[in-house]
Amino acid sequence: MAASQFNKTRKSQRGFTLLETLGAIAILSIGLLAMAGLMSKTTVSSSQSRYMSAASILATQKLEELNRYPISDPVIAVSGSSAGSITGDVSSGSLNYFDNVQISAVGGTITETTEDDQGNYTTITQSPDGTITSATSTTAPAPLAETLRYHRRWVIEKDVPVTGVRRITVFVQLTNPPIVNSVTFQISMVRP
Amino acid sequence: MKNFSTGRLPQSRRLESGFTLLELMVSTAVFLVIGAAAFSLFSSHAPLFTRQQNISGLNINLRNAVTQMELDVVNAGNGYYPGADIASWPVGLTVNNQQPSTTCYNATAHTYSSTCFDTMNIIGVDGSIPPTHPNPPGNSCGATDTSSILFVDPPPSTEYSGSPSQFASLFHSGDQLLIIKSDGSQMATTTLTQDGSLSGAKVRLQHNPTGASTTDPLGITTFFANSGSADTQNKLGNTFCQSDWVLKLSYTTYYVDATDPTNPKLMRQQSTGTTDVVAEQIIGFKVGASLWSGTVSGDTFTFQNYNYNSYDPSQVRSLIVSLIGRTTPNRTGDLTYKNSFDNGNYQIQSLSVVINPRNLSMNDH
Repeated sequence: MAASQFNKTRKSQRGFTLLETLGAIAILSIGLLAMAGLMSKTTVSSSQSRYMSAASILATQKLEELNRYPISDPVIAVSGSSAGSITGDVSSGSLNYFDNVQISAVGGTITETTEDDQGNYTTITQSPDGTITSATSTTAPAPLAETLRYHRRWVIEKDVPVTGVRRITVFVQLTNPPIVNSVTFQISMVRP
Repeated sequence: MKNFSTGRLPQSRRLESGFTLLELMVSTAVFLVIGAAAFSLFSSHAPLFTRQQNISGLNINLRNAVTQMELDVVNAGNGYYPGADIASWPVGLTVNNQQPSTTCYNATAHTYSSTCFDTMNIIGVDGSIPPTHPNPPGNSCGATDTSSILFVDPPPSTEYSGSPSQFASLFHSGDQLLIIKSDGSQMATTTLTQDGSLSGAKVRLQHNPTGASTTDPLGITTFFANSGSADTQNKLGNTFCQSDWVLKLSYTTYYVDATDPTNPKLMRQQSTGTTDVVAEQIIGFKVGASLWSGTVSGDTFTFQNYNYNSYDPSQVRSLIVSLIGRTTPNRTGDLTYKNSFDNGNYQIQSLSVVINPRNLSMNDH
């Protein structure tokens, strides 16, 4: 009598089985893992936007620099239809149409080293106490930890988009650290 | 009563049985293990996430500040009056570098005081007021370094449609004037001490005698005044005649307000009197300048001690601004985090930008 009543109630009012519970937990954990994956993805894309921001600043910086040269200066002279390239490193005599910039924040300073088109390195170092120095060297500085390295290339096109002007395009690429999507930036300017 | 109770218990258990104890324990254990793993993943990511959010906000702040500065600096030296043949436009940018000092920064409390930061003035001519000529009594030349009253002519009706008294009312106490020779060879600057008033047909401007530092808060002529005979170009003038020019200046000053040392703010002060906060939590603001050296390839940026009396501001051709910002301290979500710049519990980011003022740098080429 007792046993039959037990079986009867169990059939009509039973709870979850172990299998069902495990199934539910599995679904829950997939959801949680997806959330965690999303967070790391956000982290990556946030870093990417920061690197991109620095790349755009460096690109406009180069454009500003090239914009300052007088019309006749060899640095922005074009003999054929174009000088330099944004797809590969091009040199013409002692003049390079590419350079490197590295930015790092280690050991209590922020340093930014720019290699110019003559192979000179200018390092600007800033400290919390308001000290800021600018030093030029002909040798590359030792690589620092936590450094962001950007590579810049530029091309100067003659009579583009209309006759009588020059179009300068600067291309910037982050060469380290590797993240999921590459960080590149490109900007153009038209000048006489 | 007791019998009744014990008699009912088995019955109710039979009616409402769900999990067995074993089932419950196994499922709880599995849930705990997976839950703990997920939580630890979450908690290790949460500070990272906060950090990235903070740094994104910081990045946007710095970019906004730099963009605002670019807009202002690019237009430095504007309003130049085409009628005046000015060989080397004298006003554009003045920079005051602070001497580095270890006391400006507290390495333990991570607070910054104003001596860590530079000041940058962007100077142009107030385009709303037409330029005018001095008209000293007796139609002769006037000495601005000894006299404290300057008479000027109201502009001709082709340049200014208002009445002379309306013109006089455009000048206010505290305005900064630039007085310049018609050939641009010499200049002087002064601050008005009274509002402009009409005196006969002329406008009477009361000012501090030129050549003193109190009349030159922007450092326009400090170098010329202090270099004395070393100023071979003799750019500081004190005698101005009817063919010369009087211009009202408009200026924008960038400086860091560190009255709250836990939150230094980059400020933008305009000659109209308004002061805005451009960015908060700025822990580095240094301005370097490139002076015209005769050849463009000789232009190099230096942060040498550009205080107002150590360089010729008329030769400034390009600026480099280095800005360092930080996220709000101690809100990283990770209390052990220390940045590698000043070891504070916040992220830092630096941005440096080169700006060529169009009115200053393009004329040499």
